[in-house]
Amino acid sequence: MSVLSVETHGSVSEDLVVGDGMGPVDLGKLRALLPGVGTAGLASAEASARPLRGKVLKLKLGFNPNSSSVGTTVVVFLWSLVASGAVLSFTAAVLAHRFRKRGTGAS
Amino acid sequence: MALDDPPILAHVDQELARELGIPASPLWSKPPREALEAPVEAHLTLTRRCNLACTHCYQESSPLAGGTDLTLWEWLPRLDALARAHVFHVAIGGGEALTRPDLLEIAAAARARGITPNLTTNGALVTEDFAARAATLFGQINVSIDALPPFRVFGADKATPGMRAAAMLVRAGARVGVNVVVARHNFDAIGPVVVWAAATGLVEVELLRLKPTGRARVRYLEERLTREQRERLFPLALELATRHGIPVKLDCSAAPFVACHAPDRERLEQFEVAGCIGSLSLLGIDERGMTSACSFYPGGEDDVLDLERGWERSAAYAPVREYVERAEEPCRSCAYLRTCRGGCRAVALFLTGRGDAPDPECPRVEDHRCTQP
Repeated sequence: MSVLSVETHGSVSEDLVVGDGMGPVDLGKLRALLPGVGTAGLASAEASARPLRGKVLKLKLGFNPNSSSVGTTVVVFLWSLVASGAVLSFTAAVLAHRFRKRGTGAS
Repeated sequence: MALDDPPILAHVDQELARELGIPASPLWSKPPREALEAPVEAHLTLTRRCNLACTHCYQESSPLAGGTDLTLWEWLPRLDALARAHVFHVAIGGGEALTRPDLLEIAAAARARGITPNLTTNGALVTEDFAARAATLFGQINVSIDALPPFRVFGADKATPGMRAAAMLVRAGARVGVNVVVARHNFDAIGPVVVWAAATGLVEVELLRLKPTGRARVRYLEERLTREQRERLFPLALELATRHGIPVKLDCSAAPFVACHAPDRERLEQFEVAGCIGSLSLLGIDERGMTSACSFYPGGEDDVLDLERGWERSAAYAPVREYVERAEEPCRSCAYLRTCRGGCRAVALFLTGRGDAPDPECPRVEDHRCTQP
C-alpha cells in the first residue's frame, strides 16, 4: 500500500519550476499545503495482504461550501506535479481502508 | 464516491469499485457520458434575503428581498429527492442563509439524509451558540470577505463581522474557509486576506471571479478583471499558497485563466482543476426549489421534486451541458476544451447575449478575436 507515499514527496526535488514566470517552488512549504488528511486512520490499519486492484481516476479534496461556484485547489496541481501517482494511490488506500471497515458500498 | 473525513470526492474505475465491495451497476455496461446520472453536488439558495446589499451580489439580495422562500417543510421532500439521487454535498447560501431561523434544521435534515451540508455566510449573524452547533453539522463553512479593513469594496463592510465570525467558528472547531470575490479594485488586496486566513487557522482561501449576474451587472464592465489581472490570477494563487502555507482555490469560472498558462492537461483532469460542471455533476436550486445548471445561469421551471426527469430532460441546461460538443472556435480547437469547457457561461451570456458562446474574457478567445476580420 502507498500509505506513506505522501510523506515522501518532499524529498523528490529541491527546486521545481512551475509555469511561466514562476520561481522555484519550496517543496517544504508545499508539504504544508497537503489537506489535513493525516494518515486517515491507515497508520493503525492492518497491512493489506495483497496489492490494491484498480485506481482512482479523478480526485477532489476538501468540501465546496460555496453556494455559487465550484472551486478547485490549485496547489493540488503543484504537488501533483511531483507526486500525483502517489496521491492517487494514497487516496485508493484510504478508500479501501474506510470501505472495507464499513463493509458496505459507496457513501 | 465521497468521504467526509478526510473530505474526498473520487472517481474510481470499476476494478477499484469491485475491490471496495461496491456491487456492479447496470450503468457500468453503458457507454461513458459527460453528464453524470445525477448531480454529486447541489447549491441551495435558501433565501434572497440578506442583512447586506452588496453592489456585486449575484442574487440581488437585500434586507427587503425574499417572500418566495420555501419553508422547512417544503424543503424536506426536496432533500429527499436529492438523497434518492445520491447527491453527496449541498452548499447552502443565499442571500444570507442565517436570516432563516430554521437554517440549522434544514442542514440537519440534509445530514439525516446522508448529504453533507456546507455553508457560505457573511458572518454578521454568527453567534457563539450558532458556531458551536454549526461546527458539528457542516462539513465546511466559508465566510465571505472581499478585502481586509480599512479597504472597503462592493459597498458594504463585510470584513469586520466576517473576520469576527471566522475566528468564532474556528474556536468552535469548525472547518472554515474564506471566499474572496476578485475584481479590478480589490485584486491587490487578495494577499492580505490570505495572510489573515493563514494566521487565523482557516483551511483555505477561495478566489471567485466577479460575474455579471444580479446587481453585479450594473458596474460589471468597470469592475471586471483586466487582461493583465486575469493572466496573473493563477500564478498569484500558487505564489500566495506556497508563501503562506494555505491552500488557495480558484473557482470554476477561472478555468480559462489557468488554461492560458498551458499547464499539464492530465494533471488538471486528475485533480479536477476544471471549468464549468454545471448540469454535468452540479445543480443549482433557487429559493423556490427550481433548478438551474448553476446559481449564475438562468434556470427553467423544473422543480427539484422532479429531479429524475428534470436532470435528464431540462432544456435549460443545454447551453451549459452541451458546450463541448457544440463549441465554436477558438474553443473547438483548444487543447483545454474538455477541462476548461469554454469558461463561464454566465459571462458569455452577459457579454455576447449567447450562453453557448466562448467566454469573451478568456485570453485565448481575446487573441483569436483580434485575428478575425
